[in-house]
Amino acid sequence: MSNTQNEQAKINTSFEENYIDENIKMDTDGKVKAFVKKFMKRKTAVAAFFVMFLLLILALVGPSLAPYAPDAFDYNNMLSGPTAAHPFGTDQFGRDILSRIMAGAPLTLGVALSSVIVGATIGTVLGLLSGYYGGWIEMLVMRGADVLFSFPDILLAIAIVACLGPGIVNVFIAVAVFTVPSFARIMRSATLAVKGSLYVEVARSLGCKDGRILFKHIFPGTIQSLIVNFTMRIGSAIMAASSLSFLGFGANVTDPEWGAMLSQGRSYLATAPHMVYLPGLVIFVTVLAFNLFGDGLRDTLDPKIK
Amino acid sequence: MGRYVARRLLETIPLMVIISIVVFMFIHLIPGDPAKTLAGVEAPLEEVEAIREELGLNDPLIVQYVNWVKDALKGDLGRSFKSDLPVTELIWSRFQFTIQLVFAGLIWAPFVGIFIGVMCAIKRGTFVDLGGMLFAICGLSAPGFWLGLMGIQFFSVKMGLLPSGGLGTLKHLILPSMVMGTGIMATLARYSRSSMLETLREDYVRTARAKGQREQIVMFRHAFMNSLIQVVTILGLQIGGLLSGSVLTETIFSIPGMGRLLTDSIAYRDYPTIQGILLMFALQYVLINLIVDVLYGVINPKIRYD
Amino acid sequence: MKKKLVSLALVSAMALSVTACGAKQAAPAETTAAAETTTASAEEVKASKEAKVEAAVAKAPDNDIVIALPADATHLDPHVSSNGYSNQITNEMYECLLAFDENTNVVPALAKEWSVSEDGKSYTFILNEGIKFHDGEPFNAEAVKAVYDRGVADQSLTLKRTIATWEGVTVDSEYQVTIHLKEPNNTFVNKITQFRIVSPKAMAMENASDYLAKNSAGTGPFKLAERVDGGYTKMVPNENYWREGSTVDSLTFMVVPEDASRIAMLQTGEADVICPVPTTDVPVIANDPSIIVDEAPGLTYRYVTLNTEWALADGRKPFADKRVRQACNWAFDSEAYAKVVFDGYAKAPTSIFSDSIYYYAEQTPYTPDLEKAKALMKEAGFEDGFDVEIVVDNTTLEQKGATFVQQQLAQIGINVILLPNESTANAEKTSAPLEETTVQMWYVNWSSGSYEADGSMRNILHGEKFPPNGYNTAFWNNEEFNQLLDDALKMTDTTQIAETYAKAQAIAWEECPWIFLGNNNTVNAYKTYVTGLMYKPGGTMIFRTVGLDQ
Repeated sequence: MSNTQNEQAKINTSFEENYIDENIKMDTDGKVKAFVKKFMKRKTAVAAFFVMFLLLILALVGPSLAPYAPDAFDYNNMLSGPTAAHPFGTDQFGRDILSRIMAGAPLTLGVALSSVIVGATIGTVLGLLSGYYGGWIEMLVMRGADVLFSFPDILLAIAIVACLGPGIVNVFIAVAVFTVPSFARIMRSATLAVKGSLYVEVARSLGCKDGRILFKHIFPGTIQSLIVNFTMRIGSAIMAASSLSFLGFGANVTDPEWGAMLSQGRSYLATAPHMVYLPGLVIFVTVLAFNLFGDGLRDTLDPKIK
Repeated sequence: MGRYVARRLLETIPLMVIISIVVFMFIHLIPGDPAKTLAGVEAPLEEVEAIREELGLNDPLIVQYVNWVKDALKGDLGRSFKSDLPVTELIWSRFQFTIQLVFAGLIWAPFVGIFIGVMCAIKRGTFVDLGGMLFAICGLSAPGFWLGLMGIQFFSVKMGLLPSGGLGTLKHLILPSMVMGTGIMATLARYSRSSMLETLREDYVRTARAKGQREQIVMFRHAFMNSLIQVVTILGLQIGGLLSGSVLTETIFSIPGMGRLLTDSIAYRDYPTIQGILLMFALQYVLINLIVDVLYGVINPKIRYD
Repeated sequence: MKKKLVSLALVSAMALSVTACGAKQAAPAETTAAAETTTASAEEVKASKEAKVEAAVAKAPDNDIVIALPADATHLDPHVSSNGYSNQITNEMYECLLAFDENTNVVPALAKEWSVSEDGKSYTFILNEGIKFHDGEPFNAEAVKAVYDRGVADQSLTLKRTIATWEGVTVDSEYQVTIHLKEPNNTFVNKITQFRIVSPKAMAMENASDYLAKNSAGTGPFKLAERVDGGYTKMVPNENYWREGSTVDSLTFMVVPEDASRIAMLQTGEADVICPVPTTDVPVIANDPSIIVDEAPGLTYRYVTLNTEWALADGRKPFADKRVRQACNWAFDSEAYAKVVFDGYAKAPTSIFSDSIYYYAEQTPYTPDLEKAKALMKEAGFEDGFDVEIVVDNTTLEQKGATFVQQQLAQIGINVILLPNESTANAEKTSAPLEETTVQMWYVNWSSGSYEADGSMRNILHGEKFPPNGYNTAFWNNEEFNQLLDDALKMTDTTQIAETYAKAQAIAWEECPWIFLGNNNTVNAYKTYVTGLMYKPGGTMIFRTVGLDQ
């Protein structure tokens, strides 16, 4: 899950190198069309996009579609493997695992999405400000990012959760916190690159206000790296949240969060391995879909790759 | 270069000071009473109080911090609340196991990763490329703890080929090294592919080719050596990820390394040990970054230290 | 072409899941059956034990015994450590004047005889002669006194708990020592089995605890050889042991926190003994001819405290009403609890502590009766139920139990919300005094390390033991019950003591300050070639005479 940091480093360099010769003020409609056309050529990414889309739909309607209530106990049917009635088997209380996975989708995906959204928003604002103003703001933000970066992300999250206590809300906070510095760094360098460009100079010389320059001129220029980084981060956020749950620092076990289900299941590895295989597989497929989609997005947006 | 290293070292001092304060304050925010945990449930109140006094937990926080820093500068990180051993000794004994794991991951993953990446770049757009990249992204998306559990179930319990936990012989290291290395392998495969592709497009590679140099020589001398720079950066950053991964790997394979020491210490609110470990991680990060920067210069003489 | 490959990838991912399903198809039937007939299979497991020992052909591959435990000792200084695993490990290196056998009888150990004075305040011990500590020091009456002196000098030691009621220790002769109590105390003999004797030379060192963390200085059958904190503790037999000892070359306690890994290690022979066995995994190893599964009634009694002072938003205090508390017990199916949470390896409660404890008195069980429970709730004015939070540790087993409680109480309209957290964080919460407490219910367990009735009740039910003085988080204060406990402590006549404790148990059972859950059995497993295992009450293993069939 630590890969994202480097993805960003990489995205940045290619971004900075290429940015200047790109024509920013290109007609937006044409750009979107061109983008879609280009993206559609990447079949893996398109497939991933559909899986991702399905998962998001699942998160919205899954709980109501689930064949059983996620907390319906059935003591005569405990730890049963996959059958026609329970395609994913049942857990230690006889609860239907498929239903729990469906009911858990909004939890797992919700935590990942919301933590990345919050982390990315804060990081982006900090990055824009520090890139644009420089000086003590930049110093403060970048030192702060250094401090956060100096702890491996899972350890940082463990420390945060230990401090706040376990629970899904605190997992959200922990993941959001370690998302902030990477966005701050990326957005700062993207801002620096755009800041020096001609049209920003022009806007400034025309007497535009800082706020206007930042959000009308600089922010749109940085949005590419923002989007790519955002998708890539979601995969690692899902993984981080489920790792935390696995280590016992995450979601409440009564919640059907996927990582928590896996963590509970590992005690039954010998007797009922489906309790480990299936939630793990679902996590894997989900992360894979987000990563593949992010990959495709990056390739499409990167002008160097044709 | 000596001066450069010295300056970089000096620069890390304020960072380390901030980190130490953050670490210290943070730890003491964790709810829970170490004295109570140590004394056990049956302990009468006076005994808990005596332990609290002995551990210095009744002093004001600032006094505790100053005492800790004073000792830390002398190389004394205090004594573990839990086992009463000196923290430095404890960390050192555990560090050896973690470093074994890190090496077990590093011994194969970078080579396999780079190999896959380079092959994919050379055979760009073929099945080899697609297959290699799918393999890499799968490796990136599979939760390590899940892979580990399935590995135990399959290789140890079902097949009886490999030990399921602990350390000792080389055989013990096989499964953990698989879990530790997968992420690195996948990340490196992706990076080495794209940086290789980028270098292949560089002018000097084209020139070399145009001059009629043999293809293998061009590939190796120019393209491969140059993309190595990127790879070194990523490897440096990945060490943090490896240390994160060790928390999960150690839990699954019952290895008494640093990661498990941290989770155990949090459970016991063993403040000195938690502080020591977090500080160690931060220090490692800073040092690794320094080493990576220096390595840059070795690989790419174009970079100047000034 | 690429399109095909993508679908191929997706198909293979699906195939993976199908394989996972397919592989499992055969097993579930068995597992389900096992879940349904767990009690029966628990008996079968016992029956097959003898047969396996008879038929055992497996030989030990070496003469080094490895025991896998889920957690490490906190400290090897026997006067510092207090958790169960510390005791398990230090028990092999340190001994006490008296000990318990597996049927909770007091048997001689370092002392060969003992006697009590008329007034019940002085105990005299005649010591075995010619015993030496691991460091070569002789064991004698002075050594016993030295341990007492250490406890007096250092208040932070766990040892202090044992000697808190002592007046002093006098050395009568080289091998005779008398312990004087401040007042008679029926738990003395139990407590003396926790009074571990350490070499006076080691205790006199400036940093005794440091020395004892790395060296053993007891009289026990094993000496410390090597230790990796959090990893393993390796011991070798004490060649000067004063009675029959072990024949192994070494004894290693290995820390293996993952349940699945402990089982796997026993299967592969990496470990020779594992304790405890997670009950869900018993079916996996029960049919293995090279593994014996042993169970013993456990001491750990499980219960849920009901805070009698806790008030709802509208000011009503549901658990202040005895009828609500009783309704919870009538609604709770403890047989099902034993089956679901412990796979049948548990016993439904018949009193407020385990029947392996001294002075246990059987009570009439609350057999599940939902109608009665609902009627009681209605009578008390809570027919619509209420929301309540339960504090629980975040381990798999504890949470599983609390989830079961949640489901049971839902039947009578009580909506239980789980608050799982680490035990350390919970300890802070549960030790808050009445004015500050946030504990509404607490899913917890208790065991008396010295197997005594007083220790099984006082700290958790006596009116003087509200937090932070104790763990009476039910905030239940029954004058009569308190008085009975206080009286019994000073009695010397065992029938009188038994009667008094029986009365106390009856009161608490009727008053229901808790939901009584029951006590789970200790399940251990070992290879057939392991010989000479002994047990303490509650299923703790003793390796004093252990051997391996070569």
